[in-house]
Amino acid sequence: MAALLPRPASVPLARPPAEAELAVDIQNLFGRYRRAERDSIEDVSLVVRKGALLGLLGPNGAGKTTLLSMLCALMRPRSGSITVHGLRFAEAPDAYKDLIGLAPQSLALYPRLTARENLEAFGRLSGLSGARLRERVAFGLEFAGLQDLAHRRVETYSGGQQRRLNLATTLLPDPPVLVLDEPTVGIDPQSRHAIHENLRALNRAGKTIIYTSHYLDEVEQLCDEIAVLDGGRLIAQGALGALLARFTGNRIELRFDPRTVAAAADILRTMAGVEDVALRSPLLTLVTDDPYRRLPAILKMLAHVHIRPLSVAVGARDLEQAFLALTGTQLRDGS
Amino acid sequence: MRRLSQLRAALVKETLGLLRDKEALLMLIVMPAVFVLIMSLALQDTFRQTIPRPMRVIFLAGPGVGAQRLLAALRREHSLAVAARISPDDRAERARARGLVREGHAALAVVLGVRRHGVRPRTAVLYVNPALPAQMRALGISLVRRAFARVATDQLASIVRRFAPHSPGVRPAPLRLVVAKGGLEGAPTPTSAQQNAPAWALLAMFFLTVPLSVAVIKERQQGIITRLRALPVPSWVLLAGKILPYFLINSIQLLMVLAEAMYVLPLLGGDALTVGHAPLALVVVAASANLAAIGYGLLLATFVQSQEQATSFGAVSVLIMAAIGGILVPKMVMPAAMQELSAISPMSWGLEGFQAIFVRGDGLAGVLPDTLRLLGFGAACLIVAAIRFHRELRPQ
Repeated sequence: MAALLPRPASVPLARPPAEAELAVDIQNLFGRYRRAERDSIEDVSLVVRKGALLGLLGPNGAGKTTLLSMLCALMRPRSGSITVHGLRFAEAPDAYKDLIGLAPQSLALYPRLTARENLEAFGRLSGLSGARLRERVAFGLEFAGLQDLAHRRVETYSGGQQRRLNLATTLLPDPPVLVLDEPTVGIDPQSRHAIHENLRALNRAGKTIIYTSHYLDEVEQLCDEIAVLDGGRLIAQGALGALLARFTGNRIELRFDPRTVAAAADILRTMAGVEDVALRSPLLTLVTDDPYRRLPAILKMLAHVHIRPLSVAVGARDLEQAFLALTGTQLRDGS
Repeated sequence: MRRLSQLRAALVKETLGLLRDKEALLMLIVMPAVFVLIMSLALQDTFRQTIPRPMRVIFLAGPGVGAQRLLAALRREHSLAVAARISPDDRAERARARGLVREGHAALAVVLGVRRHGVRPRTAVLYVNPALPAQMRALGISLVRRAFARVATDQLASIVRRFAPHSPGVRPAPLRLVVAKGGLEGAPTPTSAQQNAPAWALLAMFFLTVPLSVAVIKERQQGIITRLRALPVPSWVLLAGKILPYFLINSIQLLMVLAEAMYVLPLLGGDALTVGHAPLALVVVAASANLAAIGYGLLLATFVQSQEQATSFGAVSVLIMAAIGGILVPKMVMPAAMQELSAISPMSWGLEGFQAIFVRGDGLAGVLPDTLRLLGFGAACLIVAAIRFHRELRPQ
């Protein structure tokens, strides 16, 4: 499918918080994989205040995983700086890692070990021991809802149970910042709901959460702030409400007979006030400066050439449309 | 304290993971136990009758017509491959020849010109590799005797032609053969069990390469490495966590195989394994071979990128090492060139070490060269693996 929506410029949607409020402060970050010809992250500056629940979005290949890898000290930035709670990795590597809990996209668990054994192993490797370890393991089992299955091997669990345990393992050392890379991929609605509830509770308790997902509806429900990456650049960051207000009020969706939709698109592209025309037959999505004022003229022009839309809808409805408006509709390769 | 707790966690998770990996346990423990029984029993008689063609013989003599005649007679024996050194009688050369036989580089050494107190005729001493099966040893001695007899007969015929019947007082040239006594001649000969028990135990030790590298690949594929990299845990802790459980499993496997060959094999009609009288040397050889195997496994794990690579390259490389190293095919039946080549296989060093203890009755000093080779190989592999593992875990 052709890209019909040009990428908007970066959209700063919120005033940056004061330094003392920052959980994560990323400034002018560049990152490149070994042997790669271009940067995967280009000049990204992103601030996350303490206690935020930030949804990090972007199409495949946008640089989300690269950015998270650099934040979690898995990858060295080419230039720029990252501080977490005021600390840089180079200053105190172990202390820096203690601040961040990473739940990788894949299930990072030992399948032949039980839930309790996994929690104990990763707890100890995180630096816990003694009563504190026992306390956190008990918390992890409760968080994952696996108290009754604690002695069964992880390989026997359902996908949802494994996902919950994956997240619980991240929480063991009780880090103030959680980085969750697609934590609900491939699970049933009940497990997803349970994870969301737990994350909201953690966020209310003061945890800063950075959350990536391709399920934009769940990001919309869960997150109060959004950052959008595309092509390695941060193209938007701010409160969810502000982002939706910016991108969901200026759209008109028209449905046509498939035989006439292309002709309609050609006509509307030439019309004053129409900023973008996206064709996904039999749908046309228009971006205009003022949908309600432009709509009568649009319909009149189409009637003039004997083209009548089958249905009309004004205004975008959700984060997905805002996301598509920001990043375009072209299919992306890579991850 | 934190590092100790982390090390404990690394050990526990690896040990539990390994103990619950049925395929790995089957390969590491059951496979050698079964193979030792089958191969020791199946090859018992064949092993005794195996005759390498040709047997390597070192001939050491001073200059002289007698030496040349004897060398020519030995070279007429097609079952013998004779390497000759003609030099003035010299203790160092004799010791070297004796050493080469003792270490198995040659089956026999004929040293002509040794002066023995009270022995009037010129005497040749025959050194026999104690690791030769009895029939091969008998054949080797018999061939050398035949060469001696041929020389004596030729000399006698020559004398008779020249002098008889006018010189009745002339005697044949005084040349006779005595088989050397002492450490070499009295040593026990190897049995099928003495070949197969250490051989299959070593093969299983090195086969840990497959489950070990697969475990590391799975950690990568399942994202566990990513989680570990995000934790404040140093790479050496994780590496040590991998070494110790496999060391333990390999040690248990070796003990089981040795016990099986000592106590179960005779019950089934096989030769019982005799393990010599040097338990410390045995422990040292076993530990060195164990470390070499684990080092190789970890090295491979840091290079391969998929489970398919780990299983195919791991298994094939170990089988090649085993084939070259006298594990699958005993070295004594290999041609001379292959025997030379076997010296490059770490499994050969391990087998030589075990057989030095079992067959020749060597102690710590006797196994030192092979032990040092194994430790050097293991250390080199471990160092490279540690560097690569550390690079993998640190920020890229």
